[in-house]
Amino acid sequence: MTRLCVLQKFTTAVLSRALFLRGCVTSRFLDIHYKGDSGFWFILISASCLLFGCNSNEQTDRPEATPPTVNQLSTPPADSAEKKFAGQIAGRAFFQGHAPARKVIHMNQDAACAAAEGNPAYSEEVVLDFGPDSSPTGVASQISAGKLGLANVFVYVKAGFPDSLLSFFKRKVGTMAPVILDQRHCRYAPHVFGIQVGQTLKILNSDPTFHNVHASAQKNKAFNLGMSKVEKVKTRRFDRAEVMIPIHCNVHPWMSAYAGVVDHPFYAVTDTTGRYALKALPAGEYVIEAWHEVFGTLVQTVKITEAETKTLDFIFTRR
Amino acid sequence: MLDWLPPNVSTYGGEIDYFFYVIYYITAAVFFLVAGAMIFFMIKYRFKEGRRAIYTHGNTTLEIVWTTATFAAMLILAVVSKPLWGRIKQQTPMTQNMATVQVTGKQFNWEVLYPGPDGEFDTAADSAAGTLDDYQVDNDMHVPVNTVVRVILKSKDVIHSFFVPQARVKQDAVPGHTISAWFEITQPGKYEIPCAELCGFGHSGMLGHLYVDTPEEYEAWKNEKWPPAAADSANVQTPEQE
Amino acid sequence: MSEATATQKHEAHAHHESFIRKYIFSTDHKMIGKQFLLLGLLMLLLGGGLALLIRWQLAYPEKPLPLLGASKQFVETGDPDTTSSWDMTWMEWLSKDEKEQNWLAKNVPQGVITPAFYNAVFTMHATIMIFFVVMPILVGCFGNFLIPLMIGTRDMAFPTLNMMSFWAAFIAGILMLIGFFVPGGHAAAGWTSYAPLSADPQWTGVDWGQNWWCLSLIVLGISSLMGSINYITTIINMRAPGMTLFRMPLVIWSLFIVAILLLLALPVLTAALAMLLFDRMAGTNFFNPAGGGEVLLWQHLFWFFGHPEVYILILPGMGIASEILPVFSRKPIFGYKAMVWAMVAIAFLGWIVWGHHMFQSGMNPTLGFTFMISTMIIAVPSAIKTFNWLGTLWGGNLRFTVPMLHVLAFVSMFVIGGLSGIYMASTPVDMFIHDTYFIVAHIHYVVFGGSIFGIFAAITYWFPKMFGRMMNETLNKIHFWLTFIAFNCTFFPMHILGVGGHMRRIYNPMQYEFLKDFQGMNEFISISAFVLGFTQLLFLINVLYSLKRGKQAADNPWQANTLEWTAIYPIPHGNFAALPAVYRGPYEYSAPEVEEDWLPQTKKLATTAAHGSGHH
Repeated sequence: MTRLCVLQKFTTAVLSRALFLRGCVTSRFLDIHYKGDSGFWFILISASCLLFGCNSNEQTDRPEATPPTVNQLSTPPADSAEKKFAGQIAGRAFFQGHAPARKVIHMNQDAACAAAEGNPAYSEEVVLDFGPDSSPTGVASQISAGKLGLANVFVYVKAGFPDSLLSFFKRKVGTMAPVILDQRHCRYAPHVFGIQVGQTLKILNSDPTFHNVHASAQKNKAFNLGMSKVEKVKTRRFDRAEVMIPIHCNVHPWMSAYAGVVDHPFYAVTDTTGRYALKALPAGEYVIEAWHEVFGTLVQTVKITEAETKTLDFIFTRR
Repeated sequence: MLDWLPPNVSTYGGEIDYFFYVIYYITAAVFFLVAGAMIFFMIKYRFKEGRRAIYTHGNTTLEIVWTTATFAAMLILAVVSKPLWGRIKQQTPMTQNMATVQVTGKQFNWEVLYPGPDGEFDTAADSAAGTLDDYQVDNDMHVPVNTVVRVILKSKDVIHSFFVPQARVKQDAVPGHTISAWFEITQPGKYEIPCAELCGFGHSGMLGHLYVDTPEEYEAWKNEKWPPAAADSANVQTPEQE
Repeated sequence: MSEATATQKHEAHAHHESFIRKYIFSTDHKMIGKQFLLLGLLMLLLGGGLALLIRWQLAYPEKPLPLLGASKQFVETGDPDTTSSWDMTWMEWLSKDEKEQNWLAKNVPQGVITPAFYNAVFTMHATIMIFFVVMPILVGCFGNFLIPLMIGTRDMAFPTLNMMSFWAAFIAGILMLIGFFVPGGHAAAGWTSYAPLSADPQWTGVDWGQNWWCLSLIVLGISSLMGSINYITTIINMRAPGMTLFRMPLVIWSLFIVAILLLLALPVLTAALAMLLFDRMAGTNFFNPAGGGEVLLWQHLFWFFGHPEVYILILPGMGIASEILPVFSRKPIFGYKAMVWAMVAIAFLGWIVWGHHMFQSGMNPTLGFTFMISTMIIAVPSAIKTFNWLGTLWGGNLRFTVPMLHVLAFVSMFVIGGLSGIYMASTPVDMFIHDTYFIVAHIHYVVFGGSIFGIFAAITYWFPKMFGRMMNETLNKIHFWLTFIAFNCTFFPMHILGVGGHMRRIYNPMQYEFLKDFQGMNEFISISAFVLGFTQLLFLINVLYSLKRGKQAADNPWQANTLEWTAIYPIPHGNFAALPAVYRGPYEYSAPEVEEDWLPQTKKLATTAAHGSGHH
C-alpha cells in the first residue's frame, strides 16, 4: 500500500472511533442519547474513504527499482518450459601438461566400504578424460602435448545479473527440487555440485555403515552431521553464497565433496569428458568462473545476445 | 579378576601389571577384613532384648594406630610407583635402533607419518631439495618387534588418546601440543589402537592397527614403501592438505 | 515480647497463608527442603531412564529399542514390513523433511539410538544425576530440612534467600531440559565437557544444546551459592543454647563442610563455563590452540572444581551414615572428634588432588607424581571414617531397620569404591585403566553405592519427621535387597571390563576385536541394570503411597537423641514451641545415667549441669 493510503485508513479508523466514543461519553455525561449523531459522522467519513480513498486490494506489483542494465524484465526467465531466454554459454574444461598419477584409496578400514568398491579404488581429486581408449588409471607418467578433458570443474556465473533478476531467482527457490548428495559405496555422489542459496540439500546415506557429513563452511554456518545406518536422510540449506564449501567424512578420510553455493541457478559441473553448458541465459555480459579443487580457478568474461550460444573453454595447468 | 587383563606384550607392561597385582592383593585383603568384620559384628551384636550396648566414645590409641598405618601404606605405595612412572612418561630410552613414528589424531582416524629411510621428518628444506621421503597413511602402524618405538602424538582437532591395551600404553593426543610416548613390544602380531578419549560421534570405531613385525617382515614392509633403487616412488604421498 | 508469644503470633500469621505462600513460594526451610526432594526425585526418573538407554545400546548395539523400535527387517534391510502399522508409522516419520521430523525420528530413527544421541545420553545421564539428583536431594533437601531443626533454631538465617535458591535450581532444571529439544541435540561432550570438543560446535554438530548446558549450570551455581551462604551463616550463628560445635550432629558437620566447599568451588566452574560460552558464542579462543588458547586449561579449571565436587557428593552421605549408625547400634559414634577432623581433612585435601583426573592428559608428568601423593593420602581420612563406623557397630545392640540396612550398604559399597580408587591413584596403573570401565565402576560405587544409598537411608529415616507417616517397611525391605543385589551385579563386573581395557563412552564394543569376549558381560550388566532401574519404581511408589496412607508416625519412632525428633508433626513455622536447650552430645545411647538406651540432647537430668558447660 502507498503511504497516502495508509494514512487515509488510519485517519478513518481514529476519527470514526473518536466520534463514536464521543457520542457515547457525551451521552453518558449528559444522559442524552447522542449515538445517532456520532454514528452519522462515522458513516460519512468511512463512506467517503471507501469511495474516494485507496484501494486496499492492490494486485499490480510495481517493480521496486529500475534495473540498471540492458534488459528490462517483464516475465520470469530460466524456466526451460518458458524458453523466454535462449542464451547459452557452453564449453569444455581441459587440463594441459604432465598429468598427475591417480591416487589409490585404501578402503579396507571399513569392511562395508571395501566390499562395495572395486579394487583398487581411485581418488576423485583429478579425473581426466584420456579419450575413447583410455583405461581408468590413465597412464602414470604420460606427457601430453594436447589437452585432456577435466571432470568435476565447477563453472558458474560469477557476476552479470542485475539485482532484480537475483531477487527473482531468490523468490523461485522455494519451487526448486532439492539437490541430492548421496553417500554410496563410501563416496559422496556427486563429488562436486552446485546449489542455490536457500535451496534444500538432501543428504542420503545409502551405505550400511556410519558416515558423517562435515561441511567446513566459512561464510555459511559450518555443520557436522553424523549419519548412522538408520539415519538415511538429512536436509540442510545454505544462507549465503560461498564458492566452494569443502565437505568431508571424518570416519572415511578419502571421502570428500565440494558444494558451490550461488544465488542463482546458472552453474554446472563438467562431466567426465570435461563438458558443461549454462543454458537459458538472458542476454548480457557475464563473468564466468571455473573452479577445480587441485588446479585452482580461471575467470573469463563473455558477452551474449538473445538466443546466442557462445563457446567458452577453460584450460587448467599444473600450478 | 586380573586374569581378564589382555596378555601383556610390552617391556614395561609387566611392571605395570606387577603394581596392579600388588594393589589388588592389598585392596582385596582390606576389603575382606572390613567386610568380614562388618558381617561378624552384624551377627554377634544383633539386637537382643535386655542387652546393653558398650558405652564408649572411641579409643584414641586405636585412632592413632590405624591412621598411621594407613598413611604409611599409602605413602609407600606412592613412592614405589614413582620410578616406573618416571621411566615411562618422563624419559624415552634412547637406543641405537629405535623407531620413531608421528601419530596425529583427528576425527576419526589416526594419521600415521613415518620419517622414511633418512630417519628425519620432512621439512621445508626437504621439499625444496626434492628429498621428501615421509610416508603417511591412515590407521596402519608398522613397527619392528623388540625395538623401542617413540610415538610423537599430535592432534588436528580435539583430544584423542592413543591406547594399545596389550602394550599398556596410553597417552592423550592434545591439539596445540606435541607429546612423546614410547613402548617396546616383545611379541609380533597385530594389535588394535582404539581411541581412548571421547572425540565426537565417531569416537566409537576410531581404530588403528599396530603391526609389530618380525625383522624380516619389517624389512619387507620398508622395501615396499621405500623401494631401495627406484627413482620415482609411485606410492609416496605428501601429507594431505586440510 | 516473650518467646512463647512471639511463636504464637508467628503461628497465627502462618495460619492465614495462601496455598501459593505455603507450597509454592514458601520461605519455610522444611517446605523448601521438600521442594528440592521433589525436584531430585523427578530428575532421578529422567537420569535413570537415560542410563537404561546406555545399557540397552551396549548390550544390544544398534538394535531397536523395545516397544519403540521398528521391525528387525526394517532395521536390517531398510525395507519396512508393510503388515506392521508401527513400521509404516516409522516410514512416514522418517520420510519427512528433517526440519519437520519429530523428536523420535531425529534421535532414535527406527528405534535405534544414533551415535550422536548416544553421546548426548551419557552426557546428560551424568549431568542430571550429579547436579540435579544427588546435590538437590542431599544438600538441597536434607541440608534445608535438617539444619535448623537439628541445631535448634526456627528457620534459616535468610529465609527469602532460601526460597530463591530453590527457584534458581528449578530454573536451572528447565534450562537443562530445553537442550533436549533444540536442533543439533543436547550437549554431547561428556559431563566433563572437555575442550575443544565442547568449545567449537563443528566438532560435535551440537549447537544450542551445549550452550543451554553451560547456562543451566551457571544458574545452578548461583542456587548453590545462595544455599551455602544460608547454611554457613545459620550453623555459625543460630545454634541453640548449649549446642556447641562439637555437640552438633555429624550430618550437620558434613553439610557445613559441604557448604564451604560449594562456596569456594562453584565460582571456578562458573568461570570455566563462562569461558566456554565465550569460545562458543563470542569467538574467543580460551581453549582454542589455533587462536593462542590452551586446551588443557579447561581440564585444570574443571577438575579444580570437579574434585571438591565429588567430595560434596559423598560427604553428606558420610554424615548421614554417622547419624544413623549410632541410632540403630544404640551406642555413641566411635571417635566423634576423629570423624569431624577426618571430614575437615577430606575437604582440605580435596583441593590438591585434581590432577589425578589428568595423569594421561599431557600435563607435565612431574605433576603426576605430586598429585599421586596427595591422592594416596586423601584415602587416609576416608579409611579413618570407615574404621570408626566399624567401631560404632562393635559392641552395639544392632537393629536392622531399613535406614540401617541402607547405611550398612553405604559403608560397604563406599569401601569398595574407595579401594578401587587406589588403582587409579597409582599413576602407572592409571595409564591402563584411565578412560576405561574401571573408572565407571569406581564412580558408580561411590556415587550410587555411596550417595544414593545415603539418600535412601536419609529418606527412609527422616520420612516420619518430614511427612508424619511411616513408609511401608516390607516394600522398603524388598526395595533394599533388590537394589543391593542388582547394584552389585550391575557395577562389579564393570571392574572386570575395565581390567580388560574396555573403553568408556563408546557406542559399540563389537567394533573392537579385543572386546568381543566381553559382550556377554555387557549383556549381563545391562540386564542387572534394567532390574535395578525398575526396582527404584518400588521406592517411588512407596514414597507416594506412604504420603497418604502410611501408618501415622510417632514423634520419635526411632528413639533417637537429636533435636529434630523433639519437634511435633506437623512441625509449625518456627519449628519449636520454645527454643530447646542442649545438655549433651547427640550420640548418648546406652548411657549409664539413664535406664533407657537413649538420652536426648534436650533432656535435663537431675545430675546435668547448666546447658552451657559440660563436655559432650
